[in-house]
Amino acid sequence: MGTKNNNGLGWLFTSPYLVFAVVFFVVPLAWSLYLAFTNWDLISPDYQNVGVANFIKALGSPAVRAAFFVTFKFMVVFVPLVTVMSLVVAVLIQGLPRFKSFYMVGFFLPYLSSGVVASLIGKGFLSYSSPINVFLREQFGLKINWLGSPFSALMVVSVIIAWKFIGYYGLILTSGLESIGKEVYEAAAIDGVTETKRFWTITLPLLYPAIYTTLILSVGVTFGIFTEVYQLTGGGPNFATNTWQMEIFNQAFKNLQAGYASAVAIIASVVTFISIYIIRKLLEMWGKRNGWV
Amino acid sequence: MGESDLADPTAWKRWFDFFMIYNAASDGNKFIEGSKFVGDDKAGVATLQFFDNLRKEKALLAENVTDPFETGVSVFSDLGPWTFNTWADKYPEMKFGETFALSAPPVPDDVKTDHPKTFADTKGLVIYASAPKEKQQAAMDFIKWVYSDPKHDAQWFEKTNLPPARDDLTKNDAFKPILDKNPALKMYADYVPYAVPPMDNAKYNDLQTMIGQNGLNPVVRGEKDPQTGWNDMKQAIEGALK
Repeated sequence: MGTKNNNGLGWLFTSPYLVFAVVFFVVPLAWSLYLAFTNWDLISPDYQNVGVANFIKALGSPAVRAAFFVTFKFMVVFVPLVTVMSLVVAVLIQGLPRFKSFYMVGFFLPYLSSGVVASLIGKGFLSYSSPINVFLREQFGLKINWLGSPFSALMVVSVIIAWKFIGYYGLILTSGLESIGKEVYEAAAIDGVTETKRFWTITLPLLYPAIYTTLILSVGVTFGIFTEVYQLTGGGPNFATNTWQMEIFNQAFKNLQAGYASAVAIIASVVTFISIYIIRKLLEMWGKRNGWV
Repeated sequence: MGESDLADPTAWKRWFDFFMIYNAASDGNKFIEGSKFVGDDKAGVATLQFFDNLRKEKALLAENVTDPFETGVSVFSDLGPWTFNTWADKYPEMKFGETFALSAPPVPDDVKTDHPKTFADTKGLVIYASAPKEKQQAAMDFIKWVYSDPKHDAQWFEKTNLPPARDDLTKNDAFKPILDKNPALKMYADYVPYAVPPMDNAKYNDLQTMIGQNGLNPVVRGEKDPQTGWNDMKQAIEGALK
């Protein structure tokens, strides 16, 4: 059967990824776990074991508490926004008579663009002296401090990230739509089912696996938000956009508390793992209850 | 004044708003001595009051705005000598004495206006204790050599347009041609002896974040009065220093 040879080949072909995973995931994870129990300041070669002091400090920190709640706030805004918009994009593209790929590429491009550039452009658009703000002030007397109020700052960051991901999730949903047989729609049309009802009773259930994927991916994104917040708000105002990644960065590279930052990172990982697990289970329950799975 | 930084708690931003005014108001009080808070209460409240007054007069724009001074959105701004290098590329129309003038930072009432104390963005030199002794010695020898002749400072000054922090800057002939060529920098040079360096405390990042979070940021947003802002800031800093 040559099983031994096949095993060897298997290991050989997977080795690049295994090496990559060991170097960039396993070693940093083990190192981070170790550091979380130390007071390393990122520079000094000397540091001491401080037991669970970093974890106790993190659990009592207002900034860490803010990161916990801010992530869920982002989830509440970003996940529905990106899901609905990518579904709209997918349905619109699906309905196009021609040039589908061209338009899909157009929507996908923001995903390839740099978050830093998108944030800087967004910052320019929302600057006090930008044309849009001048127009709002002069025509409607509206003076909006977009990045200065907790609510609008959260919305602005969510919209910029959603803009980036709509094309990517739209692509996943488009491929889901493509896999639904035309005959199902034809049969429904013959039975006199309206277009709206067709969407709710045919498209949505058959698209459930793709929607499930995009929902899980978008929930994951909310736990990793950093670039846009770093560029636009720095986590403010008043911690209103202070995400886990922002807090870890601040502690490790601004406050030079690498040990403490590692403890925050581990808490963030645990919260992420538990949250995604619960959300996954809820989505599966939703699918099962409606008979989609 | 247009500064989104005023509402941002990032530690280093306090050097260019809070400390610039506070150093003048307190005549150079140390703020932190060793691990003790020694801030001047009266000067601290006066500093926050200054920003609060600007806010009340609608003269403060503490929000996201691109280059407010250069684009005419604000009538005054805090400038460091590094600004002129940026302007040379980005805003060549900014000409000293023509499109802008320089003055020392504003001071609260009853504080001397002739050469008040101000903030110095001085740079420190760090030698790692973990470096081998011979490398530490080599670094020290190099530093001694740099400081042995004002011509080295002059060369550095000429290349960077950043004045060295030396009290004889306006008197030493080595710097005269550079200052004559850059009159805007003369004022900075003149204030070097009156400039207060940043606090020397290992927790400075945390402490300066607290000045923003508990004092300046809520005051410029109109969420706290200056006295409450100062008290809250003081309490947070004293707690962190324990």
